[in-house]
Amino acid sequence: MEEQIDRAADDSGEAERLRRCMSMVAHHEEIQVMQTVILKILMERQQAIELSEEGDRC
Amino acid sequence: MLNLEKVISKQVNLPSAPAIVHQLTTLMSRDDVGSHEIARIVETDQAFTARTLKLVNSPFYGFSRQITSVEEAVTMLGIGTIQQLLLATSVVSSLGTNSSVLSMDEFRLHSFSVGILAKHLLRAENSEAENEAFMCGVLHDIGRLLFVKIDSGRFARFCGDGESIVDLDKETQWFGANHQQLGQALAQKWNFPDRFATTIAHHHTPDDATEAPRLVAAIHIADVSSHALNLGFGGSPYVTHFSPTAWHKLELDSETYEKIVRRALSEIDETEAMIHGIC
Repeated sequence: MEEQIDRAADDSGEAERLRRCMSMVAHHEEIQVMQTVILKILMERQQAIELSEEGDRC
Repeated sequence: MLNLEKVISKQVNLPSAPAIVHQLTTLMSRDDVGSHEIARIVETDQAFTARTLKLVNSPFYGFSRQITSVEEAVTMLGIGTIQQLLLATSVVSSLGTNSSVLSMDEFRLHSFSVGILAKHLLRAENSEAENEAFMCGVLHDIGRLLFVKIDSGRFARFCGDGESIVDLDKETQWFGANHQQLGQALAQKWNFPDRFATTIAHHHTPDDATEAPRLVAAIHIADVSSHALNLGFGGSPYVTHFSPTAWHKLELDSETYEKIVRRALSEIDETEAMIHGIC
């Protein structure tokens, strides 16, 4: 599951945006926790949007 | 170059919207506010009255009949919702101005998001703490709006000078004060509670706050989260300050944080939909 999220995040460019956004504070352990949670949620939201768009097309 | 005193003295002649903001702030600190009290405030602002009625009659709510009274609209939409929308739109419209580098729509979304995230971070406390958190979230970057309001050309050059990174020292070099200090001074000028001024003054530097530590921590974590979630734009795409102490002060861990963010995002989506209905 985590691998899937990582792959989707890499593909969408969202992981890169988040890495850049947090790059100056990324050394904090707590920031890494936040990043993991946020990436997971963002990818789920993106997937939901894609599914909904697909549904609209059908 | 501008300095803090000049900036604030110039604020004296700014529009009257802060009066509404002050009335709301006072009301929001009470638990027993009635819809008629909120309606009276809404009715003092023709534009907001029109927006409120447009919102309550919008397809988003789908009420079966037309609502024509503000008091009824407040009852239907909920006192909290109206207070929050009124506060946020009043602050942004009183200070907001066109800028090539700061979109007011994006700024408003960032401010709202920080308010809602902060509210959920302090949800376990009480309704007063939630209200305070929301209001401080909405207000936390008002200092940055002042940069634009007072000298939009300088602000555009400031942002164009490299990337628009939050650098408090660089802001002081360019404007005579950083956006935390400007926001704090304005909050004092507008007679907001001291806790609000303190929170605005330390949202990037929560470890320096000597008052309202959990409130300041909530705004700090909410601001960082809003950037990370890419919710609107407050003037910088980067997180430049992070306080692990703030994270621990709120007793956060991965599971708790995830729950909070999910709940907040759902409210942010709903609020955005409502705002699109009224703006």
